[in-house]
Amino acid sequence: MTDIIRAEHPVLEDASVQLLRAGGKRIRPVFVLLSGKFGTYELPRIQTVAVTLELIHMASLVHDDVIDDAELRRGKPTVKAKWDNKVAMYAGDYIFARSLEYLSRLKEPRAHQILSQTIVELCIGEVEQIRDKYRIEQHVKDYLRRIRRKTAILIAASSRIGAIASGAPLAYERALYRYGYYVGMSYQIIDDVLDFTSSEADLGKPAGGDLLQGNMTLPALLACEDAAFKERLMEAFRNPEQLNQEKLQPFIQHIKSSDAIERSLAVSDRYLQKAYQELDKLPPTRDRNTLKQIARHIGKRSS
Amino acid sequence: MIVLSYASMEELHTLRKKIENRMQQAYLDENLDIPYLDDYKLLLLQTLFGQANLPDKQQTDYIVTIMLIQMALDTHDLVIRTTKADETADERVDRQLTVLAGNYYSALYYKILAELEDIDMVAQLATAIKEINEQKMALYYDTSSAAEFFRILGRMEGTLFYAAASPFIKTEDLEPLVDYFIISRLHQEEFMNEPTPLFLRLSKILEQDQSTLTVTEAINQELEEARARLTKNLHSMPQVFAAATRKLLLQGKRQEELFLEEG
Repeated sequence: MTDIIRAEHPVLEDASVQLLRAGGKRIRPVFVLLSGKFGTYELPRIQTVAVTLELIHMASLVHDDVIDDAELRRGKPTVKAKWDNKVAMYAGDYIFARSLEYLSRLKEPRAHQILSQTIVELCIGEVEQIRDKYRIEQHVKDYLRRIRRKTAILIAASSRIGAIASGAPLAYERALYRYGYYVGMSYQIIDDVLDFTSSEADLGKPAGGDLLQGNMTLPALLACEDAAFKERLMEAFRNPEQLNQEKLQPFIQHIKSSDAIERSLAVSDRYLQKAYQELDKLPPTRDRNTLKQIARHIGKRSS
Repeated sequence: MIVLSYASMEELHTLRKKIENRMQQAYLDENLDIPYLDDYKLLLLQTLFGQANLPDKQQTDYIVTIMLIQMALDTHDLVIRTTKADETADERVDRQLTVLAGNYYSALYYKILAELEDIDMVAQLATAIKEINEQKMALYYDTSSAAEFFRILGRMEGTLFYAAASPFIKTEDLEPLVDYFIISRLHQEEFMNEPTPLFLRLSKILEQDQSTLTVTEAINQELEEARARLTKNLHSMPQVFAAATRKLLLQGKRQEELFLEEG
């Protein structure tokens, strides 16, 4: 991937590989590679899709750090922190353009149509996340719609495009898409739970960051069923500029000690069960088993 | 506003509407100003695809796509270099949505061409976007004089057009149009309420270069020189673009006359 995003300008090159060096779970390419096994597996073709999906994800993270004004990601300084917002904007745009240029080797219009529609929805999801910040009065459905766009559909598209690139049968392609979607929903819910329950060292950034940013994730929404807690949080959200880590500690502690975490994990688990059901529609191969193990690992992950 | 015949005005107006309709997103529209849509670039693209013997829908889709990319890149240029420590809630939302609006317009470009099943054009324009970002980095980091700034600016502003034109016309023939792009970008800057971050960079360059010129003086000087070069090169560019170029030059002249009348 480093070779693919090589740039002429030294700062642009350094900025582009900064996030790559910080590592990551690379779950999108893994889904592409495994989904490709349900058709005719041609590594160079499948690899092109896998690399593209990871690059598109990376480009969005570089811009997300400008949006969140984040200093750290995966324990390393963000592009915007190491250089500035401008460099982060240009590096993100550069990586995105490079990923499309790279994927253009794949002459499968349907793959491009699915991916482009996914990226449009991803952008709308992020806009809606800004719209819904510090808005306590929202329904769990709003949250689920948001994470669908923010996370699940890109994982679903990764699985589906992997299947398309290998010419897998349509029934498998659909099952893989839904599998990716359910796993993606579960993955994001767990991510949102870990934001409350993990340590700063495990997260690579301060815990409780979502709440500090005004993002009402599932644990916070469920905790708001307690009217007194909801009232206190609403009061705190009235002046977002005055919020800080310290002021939010009692809220984080309350969420951690309530049943909101457990209930969130139960919702995540329901999505995982649906993901397993989709796998039953695939032939019983070693790769299907690997997809099952990944889903299981996601359900149990602690970082 | 461009001085054009009624029919051309109508066509440009229709194109503008199509672009604006594509860009619509309720929350972005509510919270951000509509990005500047450069009529001169639109005119040039209309001329390019009009003579390329393409079906009407394909022409329109190409023009809308390229203008969306242009607006995506211009929108991202508006993101300030460093987030202010005392940023207000409104400023924060503005910064966040500016990032997302650019991403959204850029995603739309990919979607339109994917719907057209035109993967080669996706690649061609993606290569141009890469080059533009390289040029932006050069503008921000390496440029040491106003002359160099304007030279890179012209090249950068024309990159998308040259990429789109390359399947139809020898791009060497379009070299003289680099001044067209400088002039249209400088008109865009004049249109803004306050200097864009790109031109704040010019101010820094002038200061470092110990120039006696202010940003406005440097822009006016460059406008005059670019117009002179473009007038001189008018006969050496493909005739089909000469008409659009004359309109651009005439517009500049009209603005000067108006300025003198008002002054």
